Amino acid sequence: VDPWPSDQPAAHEQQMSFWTLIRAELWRRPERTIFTMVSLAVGFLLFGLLQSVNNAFGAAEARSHGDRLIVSERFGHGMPLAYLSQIEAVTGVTQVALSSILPTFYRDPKQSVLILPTSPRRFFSVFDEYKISATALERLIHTQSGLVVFDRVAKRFGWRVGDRVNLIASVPARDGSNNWTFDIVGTMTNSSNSAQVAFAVMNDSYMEANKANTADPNKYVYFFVKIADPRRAVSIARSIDRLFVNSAAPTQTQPESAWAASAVALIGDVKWLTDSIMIAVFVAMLFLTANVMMESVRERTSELAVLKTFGYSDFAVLVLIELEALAVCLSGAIVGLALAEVAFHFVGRAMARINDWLTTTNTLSVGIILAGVGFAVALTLIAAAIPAWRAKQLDIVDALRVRA
Amino acid sequence: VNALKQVRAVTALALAAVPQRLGTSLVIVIGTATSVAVLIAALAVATSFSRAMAKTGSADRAIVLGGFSESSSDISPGNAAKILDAPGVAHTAAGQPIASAEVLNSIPLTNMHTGLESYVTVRGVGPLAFKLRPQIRLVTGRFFEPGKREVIVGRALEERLGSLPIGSHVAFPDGDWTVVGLFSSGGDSHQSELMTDASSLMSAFHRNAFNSMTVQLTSARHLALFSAAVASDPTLSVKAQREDEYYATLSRPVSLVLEIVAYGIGGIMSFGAVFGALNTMFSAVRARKTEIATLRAIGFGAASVIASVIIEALLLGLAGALAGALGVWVALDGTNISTMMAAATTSQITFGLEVGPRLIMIGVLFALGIAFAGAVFAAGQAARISVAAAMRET
Repeated sequence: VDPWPSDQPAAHEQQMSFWTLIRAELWRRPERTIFTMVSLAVGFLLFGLLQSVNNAFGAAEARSHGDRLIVSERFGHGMPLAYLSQIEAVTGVTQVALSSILPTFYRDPKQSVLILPTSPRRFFSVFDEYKISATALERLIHTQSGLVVFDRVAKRFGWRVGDRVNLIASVPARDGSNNWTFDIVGTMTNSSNSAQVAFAVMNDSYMEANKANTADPNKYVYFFVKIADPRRAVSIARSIDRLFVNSAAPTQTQPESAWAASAVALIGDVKWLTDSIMIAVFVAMLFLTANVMMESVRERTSELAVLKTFGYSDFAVLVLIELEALAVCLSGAIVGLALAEVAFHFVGRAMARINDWLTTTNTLSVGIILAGVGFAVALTLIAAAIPAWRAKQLDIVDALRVRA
Repeated sequence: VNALKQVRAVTALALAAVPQRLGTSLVIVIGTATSVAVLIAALAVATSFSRAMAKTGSADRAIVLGGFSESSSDISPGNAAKILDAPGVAHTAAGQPIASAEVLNSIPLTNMHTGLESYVTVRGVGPLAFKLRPQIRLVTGRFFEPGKREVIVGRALEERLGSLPIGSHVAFPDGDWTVVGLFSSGGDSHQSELMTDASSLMSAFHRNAFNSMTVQLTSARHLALFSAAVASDPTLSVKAQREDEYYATLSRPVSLVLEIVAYGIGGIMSFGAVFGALNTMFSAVRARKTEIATLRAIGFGAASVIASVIIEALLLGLAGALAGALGVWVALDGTNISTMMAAATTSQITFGLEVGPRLIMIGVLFALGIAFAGAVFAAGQAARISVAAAMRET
């Protein structure tokens, strides 16, 4: 349907006057428009924040690599070295890295650094998103007391390559103390921009040489397994667990995604919570916008009739009302999302402190911004529907008679 | 008296016209209702969690730990025996110290709702544990028999996992154990655990030390006596604290986060609702312009006009708060949710949500704040309506 019949003003003229009209209408009661925009901006601020929180929880699962399995002992004990070759022999497994755990802190118990004693070459091949320079890797392999940390952790503690640092570990060292000395040989970065967990990588041989208690042969806490086909993750995990089901150290093998999901699920049903809040916010925003548009149409009954008298079609008046609502909603969305962008910087940091898997980027994702704009359009269409329809149905004669 | 009469008359007039501006008036009601609902719901999670954790402890019991928390603490059997000799420990008629040396482990169990395995806490307790914690009651089945590799299941855990019936088997490191009973413990955190006897659990997990020792004090006042005695023995290197204080400290980080989230989101929503209320009240004053001018012309004071605007807003806000609180109470009161017990642990606690009068009061105060902030400027404008100008406009 052509809303602009040919005997009407030229399309561009009418569009020109459209924007003039919308501007004039919005500033007819500036305080009303501003209050509405602020109210909507607050709604979109919440939308941006809650969606980002939601995404962070979802991302922990999505960010994990489907081609990686984590093997641990079912009851929190350790596993023997012999498991390494047995797991490697499972069909579909391409690479395995073993690891124990050395929880440490630097000076203050709050500054914890989780160290994974491992075989570095295998480790960085399984975790290929952790980027380390070839020279740093060589230095780590050839320096028994070498330590590689994330660049962010090094920066936080002011460590430089070549530094010798003392960490307090929960595992006693050979000399009876809990002091472990390391040489910083390099830093690693995380190319997938995912969790920058405060962990570091050391040589397993140093762990063996320097720890006080070497009696327990079941010393490995994790085997990290890389598989060729992510679609076979579950069946490969079952095959691994079947190998050790009747042994003294039965295993629990899970895809990394399940691991991340269970770590995050501990915090509760976040998505349900954020969704419920968003529904409440949406209802309030919808009602507010609808009401303002309704009031604005009611106040201008005679003006709209005059517009129609000048030759604006019914449909053009409907579009005019919808566009007005859109202008208010979109500006609310832009301001609100901009505020969310600023606020998210702080929220993101707070979340990372709760759970390492929740570390996120410090900016809103493009997806959330687009969703916010879509949300604004949906809000407009629904909220302005009735007032716009009323404006469209307005009969010139009736409308003007009421006023007289 | 005259002033009060005026306020009453003007307010009655204002309220009588509310049905005519129902749409705009509902903006305040819905704005406050949604803000209050979100605030109360989030606060209910925080306070119900704290309450469930606090219930776990009692002021007349002391918990002795060799570390910061139960899971990172070690107490050797020899030291456990020494702790029982300390003054302040209550004894049974037969002369046995009322105490329980306990050991904690976790085992993976399948959650029937999600199909995923998650770790649950198994607590190994001493022979007098149920005398020490009278709140623990069997719902069905029987208590475990020591040494028989039997467990009893907390009601909240059973509910969270979906199913763990009596007679079913649970995989422990030394083979399958049998579930013989279901217990409740007044909504505290033990309800989210499995329980068995400490020595069977220690042998299954090859442990030779307890995690904690909880004792019944002869009186809450004897805590200092007991803890001083325990602390003075250098071979023990343990610390005794009031059990309820221990659980409060343990839960504080998580409940603090929950409270910050509740007030943060509730506060942001309320801020938005204030602007909706501003719109409503300015629009109400516009609609009443002639009426107000007339009232002023026949001698009503500015104060009564201001009061009428503010009272109208407060009543609308109150209606919203009650609607929001009712909605949350209907939807959430009595439902169970789970969260982790303390930051960076794997132990989860399942607890019932309670939307109590204190939360509803907080919600009402928030709503009245929103309504007042939204009304105060419009009230000022109403007071300045000039008789002549208002009459001329119509």
